[in-house]
Amino acid sequence: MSQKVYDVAVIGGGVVGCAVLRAFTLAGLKCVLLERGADILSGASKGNSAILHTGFDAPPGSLEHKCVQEGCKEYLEIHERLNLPLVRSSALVVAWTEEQFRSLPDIVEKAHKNGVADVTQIALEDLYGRETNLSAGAKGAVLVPGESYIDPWSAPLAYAHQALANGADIFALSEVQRGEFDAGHWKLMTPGGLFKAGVVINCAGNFGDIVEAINRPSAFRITPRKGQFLVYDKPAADLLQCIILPVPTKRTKGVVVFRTVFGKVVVGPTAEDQEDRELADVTEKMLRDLKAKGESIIPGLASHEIIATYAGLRPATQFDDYQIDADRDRHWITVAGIRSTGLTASLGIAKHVLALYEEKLGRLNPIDEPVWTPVPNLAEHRPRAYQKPDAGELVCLCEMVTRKEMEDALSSLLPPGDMGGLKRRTRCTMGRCQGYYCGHKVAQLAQGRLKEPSQ
Amino acid sequence: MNGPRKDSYDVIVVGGGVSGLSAAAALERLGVESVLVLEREQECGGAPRHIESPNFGLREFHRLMRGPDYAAGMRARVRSAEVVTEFSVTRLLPGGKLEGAGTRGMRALAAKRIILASGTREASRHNRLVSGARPFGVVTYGALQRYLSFAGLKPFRRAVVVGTEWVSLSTLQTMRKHGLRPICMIEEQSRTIAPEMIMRVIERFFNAPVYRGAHLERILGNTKVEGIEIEQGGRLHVIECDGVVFTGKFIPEAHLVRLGQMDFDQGSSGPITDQCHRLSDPAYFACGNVLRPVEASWVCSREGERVARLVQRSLARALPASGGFVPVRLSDPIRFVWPQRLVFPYEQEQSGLCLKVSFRRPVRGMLRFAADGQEIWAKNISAMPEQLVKVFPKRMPSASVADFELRFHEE
Ligand SMILES: Cc1cc2nc3c(=O)[nH]c(=O)nc-3n(C[C@H](O)[C@H](O)[C@H](O)COP(=O)(O)OP(=O)(O)OC[C@H]3O[C@@H](n4cnc5c(N)ncnc54)[C@H](O)[C@@H]3O)c2cc1C
Ligand SMILES: Cc1cc2nc3c(=O)[nH]c(=O)nc-3n(C[C@H](O)[C@H](O)[C@H](O)COP(=O)(O)OP(=O)(O)OC[C@H]3O[C@@H](n4cnc5c(N)ncnc54)[C@H](O)[C@@H]3O)c2cc1C
Repeated sequence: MSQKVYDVAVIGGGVVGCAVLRAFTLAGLKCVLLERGADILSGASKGNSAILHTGFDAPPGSLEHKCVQEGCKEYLEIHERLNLPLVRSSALVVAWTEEQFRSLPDIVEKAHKNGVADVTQIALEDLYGRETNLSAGAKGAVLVPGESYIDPWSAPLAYAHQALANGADIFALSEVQRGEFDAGHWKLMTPGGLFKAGVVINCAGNFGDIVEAINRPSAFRITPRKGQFLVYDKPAADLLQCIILPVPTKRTKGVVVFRTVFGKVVVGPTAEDQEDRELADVTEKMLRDLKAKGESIIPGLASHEIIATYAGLRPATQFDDYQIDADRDRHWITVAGIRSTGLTASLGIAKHVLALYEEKLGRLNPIDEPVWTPVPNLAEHRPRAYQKPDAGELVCLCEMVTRKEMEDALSSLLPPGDMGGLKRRTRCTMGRCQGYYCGHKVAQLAQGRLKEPSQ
Repeated sequence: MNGPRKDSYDVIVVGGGVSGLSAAAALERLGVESVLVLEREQECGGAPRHIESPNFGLREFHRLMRGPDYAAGMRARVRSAEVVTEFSVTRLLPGGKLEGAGTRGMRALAAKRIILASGTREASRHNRLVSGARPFGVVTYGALQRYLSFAGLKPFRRAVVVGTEWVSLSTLQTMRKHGLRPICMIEEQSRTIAPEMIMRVIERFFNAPVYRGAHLERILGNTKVEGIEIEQGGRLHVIECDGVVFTGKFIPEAHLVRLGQMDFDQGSSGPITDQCHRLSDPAYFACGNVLRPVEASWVCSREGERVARLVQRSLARALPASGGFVPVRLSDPIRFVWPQRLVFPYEQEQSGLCLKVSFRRPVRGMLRFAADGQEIWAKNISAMPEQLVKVFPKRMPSASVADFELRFHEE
């Protein structure tokens, strides 16, 4: 497909690949991103909790902790220039049993060790003062003032857009199936053609170990860990203010109740290991469990309408920490096992990988005046297109998406490759009616303009 | 489309569907002059605009009409009221103020009375908590109609129809007309919601068996529907298809009620009103299927007319005060009753008071309505979950009552 020889080829267009592509492009390297799906963000990054973590609960001294904190810091620095939303909601870790209550001081101590100094244990009155709809019976809570939530799709899309605007290339439907390393260069074989690059960065998410095997036997094995979610309609948003976290267990952070920048309330995720690397299906039993769990935390949810369900697959390995490593001899960088904090950590991971590259593989030549590419705002609390005098026709009547927004997305620098991509860029059909009113219009608008037609 | 000409009106009708247009036309006839209808779609007419089956209009126009023709007939009834399409109401504020978005951005409007007539939508697979990934080809009946008649697109070729309500039968008809094959129907209950006698004819006519007492275990396929798995009598089986149509479960389009902090009924998923169709904020009235799932068009049309009369009387301060209401108490298996509360005096025009009751599960037994412990109505009934049972108390107590109760005694 391309005769160019790139400095860097990034395999995988998840949030990590997008952030890495952006960082290397801004560092002056000629980069390409190869994505297997019809659109970027079709893997793990498709469905997550959208929380921007402070890293207060990360294992101290871990690479994950470092990347989460660096990533969070950079997001705070750049989000306004990319027009990305941020809601500083704070989080509450709520203890429901005596045993959990006894572990709260440890949570505070760990947070302080992690450099998140403003984390404190709060009194019950304070807890119920903040969360008036919280179920009775809480034993205590820890307040994490810095936890926030963001738009999980606009952020990686913005990173990808900025990379494109500064000279990178992105190819979808380009699954890297084989590769050859020869004379200091990689040749990567994809259904979309052959790509040549000096260095390969494996950001293949749930396929991380399979892609890794192109270079060498993988040192880790990916076992996708599914997380299911329930979404409640906007009127439920008044029921809570903060992100409500449980006291974590060794295995997971547990079921969280949180608001989204789109004005909804979400309950989830579950944590279920599975073999399938692609099937992010929901199951009735788990959804019912989540419903009961959510209602046990915020009883008021029981009277609210569930409008959507979704699931995401965490790229988990047998190790707790991220698997990031540079193979100096074979010009290959592994970025794998970015399990459950990748949305936050991606910018920090990119910085870390850039440092690895500079240390082991080559020189950087940062662009003096990079182009900044603000993305359209989709968050409820900030001005939306439909509110403006030139709004024009609305297509999606629940999420209030204008025809113009949809046309703009379809003709953008990085147009959606499939229906999911169009939804992530505009929010069309993602509201309470799930396409009852506008499904046909969306299908009509997109007809013939997507690489892969699907819902 | 230009936005509303004025900022304030006597009456604003939110939703230009069957009941909203009926209300507007009736307000005209009653001489209320300053009326605005706000409709978010490009054309008024509501749900019938995309329902082809000819079951509309018998009472209103004295002939059977297809949905689109009926919608056109409804539109033609409104003559002088101002009608603004492509205007979505986004918030109802206390005392009769609202906000909405038109093609030129946001507007704030006010009225002495606001009639909420925003209709109903269908429950999606998500709302029903159905297992599966998100393959293409999963729709509701209304969405399918819109695909076919508005966009000329076919989301599948061979589909399973979930539900056995009357609209499920319309679904079969629609599919046949467009060359789509219904493979079978599945019903969670042990008997069909539409009468069994009719269903048996339908099964043969469409060559589409009904699986009764069948639970939809999951939808198969990741990017496109490949089939469904059902559980029936403890056994699982797979039915191959490339589409699934969900039918027969409706949800009032009533989020505005909750966003506006007005009393809301979890059972009906609609606003709580008194028998005068008045919400907890007495500047607001509601009619049509936003009130509850679900009535046929002619009932909604009649409700629109009734609300117009009630609103006119309310403007003339001739309605009973809304404050001193008495709620109707209920208990399981009753899901909801509409109206949820009664005000004195009870007179509700000539037709008398009528309560509508819905059950959580199929029931057979005695339904009793009591005032202050005294039975004022009772009847032996049999009902399926999506059906509405009418309660017609012939004589309401003349003095005021402190307690109303609906009770069901299983057979
Ligand atoms: C349930 C859940 C909740 C979460 N909550 C949060 C949260 O609140 N906050 C937070 O910060 N993080 C959260 N995360 C974590 C975050 O979503 C992940 O860490 C992140 O999405 C991982 O991104 P990735 O780029 O590594 O993987 P992916 O998004 O999977 O990207 C990998 C990409 O590589 C592509 N690919 C695979 N093989 C090939 C190949 N051979 N050739 C080309 N392309 C290929 C895939 O198609 C895919 O698009 C959550 C995750 C889940 C699942
Ligand atoms: C799929 C489906 C099939 C049906 N089939 C039949 C049938 O075959 N026969 C039958 O008799 N009945 C049928 N019905 C019932 C139907 O609801 C009634 O016939 C009738 O349309 C109800 O009138 P309404 O005024 O309550 O709602 P509608 O006629 O639907 O009107 C509601 C209107 O309000 C508008 N609206 C909603 N929210 C807003 C807002 N925020 N701002 C502005 N405008 C808004 C909507 O766009 C719509 O035009 C069906 C309903 C559905 C959903």
